[in-house]
Formats: sequence, C-alpha cells, structure tokens
Amino acid sequence: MNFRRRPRCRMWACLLALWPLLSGCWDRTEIEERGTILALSIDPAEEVQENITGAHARADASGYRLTAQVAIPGRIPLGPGGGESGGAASTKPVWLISASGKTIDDAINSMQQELAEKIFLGHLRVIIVNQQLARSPGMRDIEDFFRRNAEIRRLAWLVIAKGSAFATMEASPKLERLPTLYLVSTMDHGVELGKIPNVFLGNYWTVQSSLGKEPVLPLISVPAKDEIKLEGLAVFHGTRMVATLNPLEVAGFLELTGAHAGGYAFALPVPGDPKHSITVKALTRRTRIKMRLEHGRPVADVYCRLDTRIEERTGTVPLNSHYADIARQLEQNTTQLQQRVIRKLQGLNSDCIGFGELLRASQPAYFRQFTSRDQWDEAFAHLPVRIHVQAVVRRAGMSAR
Amino acid sequence: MTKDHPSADKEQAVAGLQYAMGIGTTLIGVGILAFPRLAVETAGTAAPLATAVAVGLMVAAGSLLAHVLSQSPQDNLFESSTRLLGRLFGGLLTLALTLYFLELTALAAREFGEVVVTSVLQRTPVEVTILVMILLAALAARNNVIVFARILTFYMPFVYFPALVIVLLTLKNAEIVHMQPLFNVFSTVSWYGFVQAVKTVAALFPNFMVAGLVIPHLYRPQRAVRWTALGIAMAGSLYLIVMLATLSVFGTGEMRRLLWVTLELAKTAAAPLLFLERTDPVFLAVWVTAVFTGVLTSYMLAVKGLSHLCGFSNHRVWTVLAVPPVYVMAMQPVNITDLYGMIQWVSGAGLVLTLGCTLVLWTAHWLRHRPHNGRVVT
Repeated sequence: MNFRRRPRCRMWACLLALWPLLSGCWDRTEIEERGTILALSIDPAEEVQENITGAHARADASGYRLTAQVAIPGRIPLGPGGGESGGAASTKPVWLISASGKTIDDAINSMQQELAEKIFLGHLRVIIVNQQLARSPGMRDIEDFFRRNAEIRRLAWLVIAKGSAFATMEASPKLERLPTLYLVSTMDHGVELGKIPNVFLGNYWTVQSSLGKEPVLPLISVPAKDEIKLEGLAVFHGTRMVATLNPLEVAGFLELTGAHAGGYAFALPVPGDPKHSITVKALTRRTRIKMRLEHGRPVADVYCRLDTRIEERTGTVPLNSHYADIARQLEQNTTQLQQRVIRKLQGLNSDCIGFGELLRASQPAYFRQFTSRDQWDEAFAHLPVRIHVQAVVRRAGMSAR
Repeated sequence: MTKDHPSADKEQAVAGLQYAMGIGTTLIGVGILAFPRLAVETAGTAAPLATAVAVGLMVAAGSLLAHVLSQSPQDNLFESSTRLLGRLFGGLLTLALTLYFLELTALAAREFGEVVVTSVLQRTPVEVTILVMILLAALAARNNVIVFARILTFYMPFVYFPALVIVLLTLKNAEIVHMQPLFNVFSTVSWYGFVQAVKTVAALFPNFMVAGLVIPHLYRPQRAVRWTALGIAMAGSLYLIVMLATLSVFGTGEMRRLLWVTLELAKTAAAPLLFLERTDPVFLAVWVTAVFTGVLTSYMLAVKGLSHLCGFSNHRVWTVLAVPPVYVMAMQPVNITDLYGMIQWVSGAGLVLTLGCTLVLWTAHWLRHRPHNGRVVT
C-alpha cells in the first residue's frame, strides 16, 4: 500500500488524522449557559426536612444553608463607565439564590434544582462561613467538597462572618460594581496594608494539614446595610474556630508571624507629658523566631525589629530630641502586646504562630514525639517564649518638631 | 533507512546538543504531577534529597548505556543487545523491553486521560482522550529516528520555560520552614522510606533508553556519554525544582492529601496579569506536550523493538498494529486507585528492567572487549 500513489487512501488518512480534533467539542459550554457562582455563604440550617441526595446524607452539622451570588451574563459591567447606564434596581449584576442540605454537596445539588444552568464554581472567589457554624464540629465537613472539586481555586478566600453569612451576601457596597469583588478587594488590600495575614483557602488547607501550626481566617461583619467591616481574625484549633483576635491583637499577631507590611498604628504617651500622645506606625517589620532546646525542653526566642515613623502628636512638646525614648517606649508596649497575644493563644491551646512547625524544622529528632496536633498544642500551652523587640524611629513626617 | 541490513549505514544527522535537549524533553512526562506526593509519602522532607540521589543514579545509568552504545555506533539498542548477548538472550531482552514500553505507553496515556477528565474536560469520555493521545503518538512515530529526535528537541522550550515560570509565580507562597529539615533528615525518616522515594523518582526516567535509538544517528557518537548525561541532568533539575517548589508551598502534610500536587501548585500560582488569573490551564497545556513527548518515546521504543524482533527493516507497520493492544492495556485499570497501584508496580519492575538491561549490556560489552593478554579480543 503506497499512500503517495493512491489519492483516495491519502484522503482517508487525512480525514482520519483530523477526526480526533473533533473531540474538543465535548466540553463546549457557552458562557450564558453557565451558572457562574462568584461567592458562596454557608450558614447552619436548623432543620433540613427534605434533602435531595437521599436519607443517608449526614455530616457533623444538622444541615447547611448555602447562599450563592450567581453572575447574570451581560449584566457584569466590564471596563470603566457603562455601570450607570441602567441604574435601576432590577439591573443588579448578581442574583442571590439559596438552598439547604444535610451536607454541602446535598445543598449544592438542591441549588442546582433551582438553577437552569449548570453550576460552575471556577470563578468562586469567596466562601463565607457563619461564625456559629465555624465554632461547631460541622466546620470540618465543609472542607471536603471544595477539596475534591477541580473547579475550585486555591487562591479563593475563606472568610468567617461574625453574624449571619447570608447578610454579607446581601450587602452590596457602593465602591465596586460587584459585591464579590468588593469583598475580594477588602481581603487583598487588607493583606497589602498589613491588616490581615495572607491566609487564602489553599493556605488554610496547608496549615490545617501541618502538625505544628493552627490556622487563622479573616473575620468580617456587616455593621449596617451595605457595609462590610474587617473585625480581625478567627483563631482555629484544628478544624474548629475557638476565639477571635481583635485588630490590636492582630497587630501583635502579625508582628510575631513577621508579616512585612506594618498595618496598625500605636499610640504612646509623650515623654514628660502623659496627658498627650504620639501615634507611631511601623514602616516595615522583620521577625525571626529561634527555637532552642534548653535542658531538654523547647524554648522560643522571638527577635522582632520595627522601623517606624511618627504619624501624629497631640500637645506641644517637641519630639526631635526624644526619638530614643519613644523607641524604648514602643519596644516596651510591643513586647507587652506580643506577650498578651501569646498568652491568649496559649490559653486557647492554639499555636497559630507556628512555633511547632519551626521546632519540627530545627529540632526534628525532638519533635518526633508529637504525633498529633493535640499533643503539640498541649506542649505549646507551656512553651516559654522570650520576646526581644528592637524599635527605631526613622522619620517623623513633614513636621520639623 | 536502507532495506538490506537493519544495522547498516544509519544516517548521521543529529547534533549533540539537539540530542541532549530531546532527552531532557522526553524524560518530563505524566509523572511530574504526582511524584512529589509519592516521594513525600515515604521520605517526608527528605524527598528533595531522594530526588537528587535518584537523578544522580539515572545520570550514571544513562551514561553507562551511552558508553556501551557509543562503542559500536552502527547498532541501536536492540541490535546491540542481539550482537552482545546472542540471538536468544538478546531477543528475550528486546521482548521484555518491548512489552514494558508498550505497557508504559498505555499507563502514561491512561494517567493523562484521568487527569484531563478529572480536572478540565469533565464531559469528554476518557476513552477518547486516551485514544487521541495514542493515535497522535502512533502518527508521530511513523517518522524515522532523525525526525523523531527533531520532534523531541522542538518541544523542549514549550515544556521547560512555562514550568519554570509557574514555579517562579508560586514562590510568593513558599515557606522555607516547610522544606526543613532538608539534610538532617534521618532522625525522622527511615532508610527504607528514603530508598522507596529514590525508587519512585528514578522510575520517572525509563525513557532514557531512547539513547539506544538516537545515538547511532549522532554526528559524533563518541561524545554520546556527555550529551546523555546532560539531557538526564536537565530533566532531573526540573524534577528537583518542582519537588522543592511543591514542598516549600505545601509542606509534607498537605502534599499527602493532594492527588496531583504539581497541578495544585499551578492553581496556587498568582499571575500578575489580569487576563491570566488562573495559571493551571496554561500549565495543563504545557503538560500535554510533555506527556506527548513521553508517550511518543515509549511508543517509538516499543515499535522499534517489535520490528527488530520480527526482522523488519521498517517500523511503520507496527505503528498501526500496536495501537489496539496499547489501547486495551490502557483501559485495564478499573479506577484511579487501581491505576496508581499498577503504575507503582510497573514502574518498579521497569526500573529493574532498564537498569538491569544497562548493566547486562555493559557487562557483556566488557567481557567481550576486555584487554586479553595485552590485546583486545572482539
């Protein structure tokens, strides 16, 4: 058989070679035929009477109530301008849709019953979980569905809501055209400004899988309609939320974990004038934690260096001769704050800073004895931590005094 | 190719660097997605060290094979084994290698199909994905060895550069503490586990046997050893980089929970470009070319082995005939767990076979060519 001599053979061979290219059409989905979910909130559901995946659906929570922001094709404003052309309330770019189920997948399946298009989670940017649910054993069973689903992005945000998670879905702040994008930029800018650590979904999972560190997640609330407030951090012990850190404690926490950008300002008394204060903000901070074994027991040394600038002074005392005093005062305050945060975490048996991981890295032979998260957390509760802060006031803004 | 004698006058048209790049490309295959997990499962944070040891081992094995083959550059791998071991043992070795590479083609195509159907094309039947990959390999394997080598070389930048870019983009999420302890590991990791991890990583390199097909076509076969070593070291470096990147981003605990660690790494990569918010589709596209070169090489080796066994001078007919058995073999594993069980077993056996073959050929070569009372007996 010689292909060159037989044009008919060649034609068939060419057709046969091209045929596999047709297989690309199988997964073709038009963008309008996709139920693109941008954000998802998870609240506990009291009684789920009927569920869709059958009577055997069980999780550690009595049920989950899911609310999704579904993108409406054609209403998502792209590029600048154009957003005000419609203006009416009916042209909201997202549609809220709720469903409950005994498990997450159960709820997603019953949500699919309410939605004509196939649910697509590839653009899911935020998952918001009600604090009440996060504090219950039901939090653990949320994870698996999202881990198994190939569409989920690891860079999505998992956020804890102080009240109802549904309320955060309803809130639509004015700054961004999409409520989801506002939430995402709240988190992204929070990281940039040093207000929260960069704890996205993938990071939460990673920390959850390591023995010597406990996860934290951002905590938000809806104080008023169309307003979203960053409340601090939710502290976890394993898969359960156990406490919250307020913004001041988060500052101490970020100093301990060595987040680079300094996001919070501290007020200190003016030297020699205790009725007035100066406000100092960290420009950059650098933290190194050394784990040592002393007499066969682990000890942590935290070396923290702060480069700061002065933001505000009340009263009239000139500051330029007092920079060193201010720095000492700041060192003292920072040390106290960090000690407070560590004591709080030790009281909770929750090593969010990751002393355990550092110990595993530097003293692997010693860390071998800890085979479970709980064992290390008990040891963490009694871990001596020595804090060494070095603060320097670098500049004082545009004022010469 | 000439028709009269299979080992006569092979055209010499492959440059050394081209050959090294080809080897470097073909060694990156399906395995790159799962190997960090498999290595970490037994070796913990010693996995990068195990990877480095495995790469060293395979560079040595490849150099040894290249050395034996460059001594008689007119013969390819199968012709050399017949010449050195005789018709019977040479034939048996060729048969074993052929069957192994057929199975390897099948398993690589199946693993590829499983990744695609799980993560991107969820509605495309896995049979179609597998068949398309096998047909593509079969079509490309109809070329002669020189063109085949050119195909491998051509894809090298497409495999290496995007992989390195994705690794760079994930460094933001890397934590050094996840990698530690890197060297002081044996207080927590058993030697047995470490050796298992070395075995797992070394089993990613069976396609180094392609040296046996290309060396006879090199312009200067006497330099084959250095180019083979370079090619294997190139692929080994990429594996080591991926290992370090996945370990530093995920840590051992999380890696044990991820089926395809490297794919998850691509999902964690944050591109600074808006239109490329997700990098995992880019990574998958790259990875398809890596799989293709790997599958093509295994298929080429199997097909060349089959034609040698039958005494055919032209391997083209086997490129068609071998498709159905490979497809049937690919469909054998029942599910993903079964597939990985089979891959573990076959790759272990393949490691023994490829390393054993290299050692046997070298021993036979040494016995035949050792200095005998001051002169060389041939």
